[in-house]
Amino acid sequence: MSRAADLALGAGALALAGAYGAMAAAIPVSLLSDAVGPGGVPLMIAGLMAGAGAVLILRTALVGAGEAKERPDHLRAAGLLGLMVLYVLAIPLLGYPLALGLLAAAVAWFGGARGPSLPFFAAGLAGFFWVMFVALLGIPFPTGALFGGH
Amino acid sequence: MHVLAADALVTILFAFGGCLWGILGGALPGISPSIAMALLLPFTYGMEPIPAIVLLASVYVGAEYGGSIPAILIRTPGTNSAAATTLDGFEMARQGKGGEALGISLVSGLVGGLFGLAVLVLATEPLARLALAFTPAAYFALAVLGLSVIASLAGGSLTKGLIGAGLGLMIATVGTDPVSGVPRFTFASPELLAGIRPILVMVGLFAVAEMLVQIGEPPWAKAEARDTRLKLPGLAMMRRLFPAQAIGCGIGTFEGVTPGAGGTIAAFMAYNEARRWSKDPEAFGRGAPEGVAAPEAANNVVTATALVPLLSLGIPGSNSAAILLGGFMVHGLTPGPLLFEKAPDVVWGLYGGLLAANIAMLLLGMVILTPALWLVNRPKPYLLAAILCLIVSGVFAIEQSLFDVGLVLGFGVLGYLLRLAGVPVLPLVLGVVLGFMLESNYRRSLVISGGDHAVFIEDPVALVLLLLAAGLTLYSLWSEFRRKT
Repeated sequence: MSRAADLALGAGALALAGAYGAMAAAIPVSLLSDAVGPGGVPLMIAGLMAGAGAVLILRTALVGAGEAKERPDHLRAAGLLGLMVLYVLAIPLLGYPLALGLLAAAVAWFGGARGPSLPFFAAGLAGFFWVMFVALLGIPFPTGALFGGH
Repeated sequence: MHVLAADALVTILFAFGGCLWGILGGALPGISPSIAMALLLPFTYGMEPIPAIVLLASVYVGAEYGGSIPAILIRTPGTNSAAATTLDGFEMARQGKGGEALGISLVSGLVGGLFGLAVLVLATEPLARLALAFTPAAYFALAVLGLSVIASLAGGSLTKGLIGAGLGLMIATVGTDPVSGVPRFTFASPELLAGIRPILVMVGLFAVAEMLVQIGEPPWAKAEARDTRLKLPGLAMMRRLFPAQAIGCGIGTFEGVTPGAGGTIAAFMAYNEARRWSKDPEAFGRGAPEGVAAPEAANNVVTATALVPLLSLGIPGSNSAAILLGGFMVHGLTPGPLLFEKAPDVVWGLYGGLLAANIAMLLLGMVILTPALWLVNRPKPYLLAAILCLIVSGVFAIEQSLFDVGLVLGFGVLGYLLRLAGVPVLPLVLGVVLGFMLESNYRRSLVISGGDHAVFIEDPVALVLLLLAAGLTLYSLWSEFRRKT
């Protein structure tokens, strides 16, 4: 971790503690509440988070940061996340097997797979999962508004 | 009687199935035992408790052997705990003794697994009986101690561990307040009223985050088919390996019952000690069979002994134990001392399932090599696509909710960011699963004492546990500052 990243993490922890603590303080107290109340423990958690964030900032400022461990490819990670979000948005419209087949094809293509086997892989995988989840386990996956389903 | 026999048969079948899944998952670099377990977690919803728990525990057992296959053949450990095995295992493979190394790994893993199971059976119930005398104040203190131990040991930085634990506790407070029924942190969303199921957090943090990292990583190395003949060690070799296996068993026991330590540390410590006590330490690193036996025995002991704090105290000491705890929670079971009173059949079913899983590991290990290598050699993009399809389908199947799938993706992003920031994930998971225990026992103690916080000092067990937690936290903080200066 770089010094800036550790400082950012500490600042993020402080900000999160502040927002969470403010929401905890605003929780209405019911007549059924005990002495601690529904916001008591969350306020303590906010205190813990704020303390850890402050110590991290202090430590980084005084003695520096640790060494970086891994540097994943953020663009590719964001691309994969985008494909999964598209799947969640598309499944009510396209239905489970088609949306899953498209997800499989898109992820494999995005990962570097090319060639004529790609559509067969996607269709086979979608068919396999449909048989396993819908036909065998009876899970009511969306059938797709485009095809008159729900 | 017939029903009992049928139940036992089903449990054994699930032990074999879990072990098979674990070996194949463990053989894939990047798929850790906890990820292999998390991928199966959604499928346990509709199952009976015993087969479900046995299935998950068997994945853990199988994954430890599976991880050694690519470690030995392609110098790429399938799991973190197999990293120590590469040192001599790959050297043996380079000398044309890859099959022999795999045989030593398999048999040493079996020795470790059975030894660990014996420790688990003998140590867990007495420890749980001790914990039966715990008051709510002591349970609160136990949860605080568990969190502080994991935050201190899991990632090397106490402050980052505490940030992880704090995040987990925050997630645990989402939903309806258990005492007053007031909604907390639900953002007016009806889906959040019942809280966030730990299973969603685990699948996101472990499986989705790993996929986000793996998509940017280069392809895995290929293994050659000529290495697929497994050779089990003979009697003379077993005698030679005995001291190394014994060292692995001893260290694995200690590291397994210590929360936050785990199989990777156990394997490297066992390797170092086996080399230190060897008559020929120079042979280590050049293809010494003992260099495979010691770490493999150690990491397989951990698969059983890591369950000691989980079953006796309800504190999971490793990622895999946390996933297993998630499996218990799916079925409304809470690991800890009361489990032995409320569901002893589940505990004994788990013991029996672990025994079956170790036998399954030996039997499957002798025939699985060719299919495992075939799987490892599949193009990585296809494997990633298949795993992602399994994740999104499995999560939807739990409650037929796309909201849940969205939550899992969100936790995947959180897990990815935490990895970038060097924040360990285990304290977060522990915060999620211990959050309820911590809050409910804290508030119950204060109700009993009429709001007097002295209850946590007057209860001797609670006082000792809280002092231990405070001492450990202060020591870790001091070490952290001292290390950096």
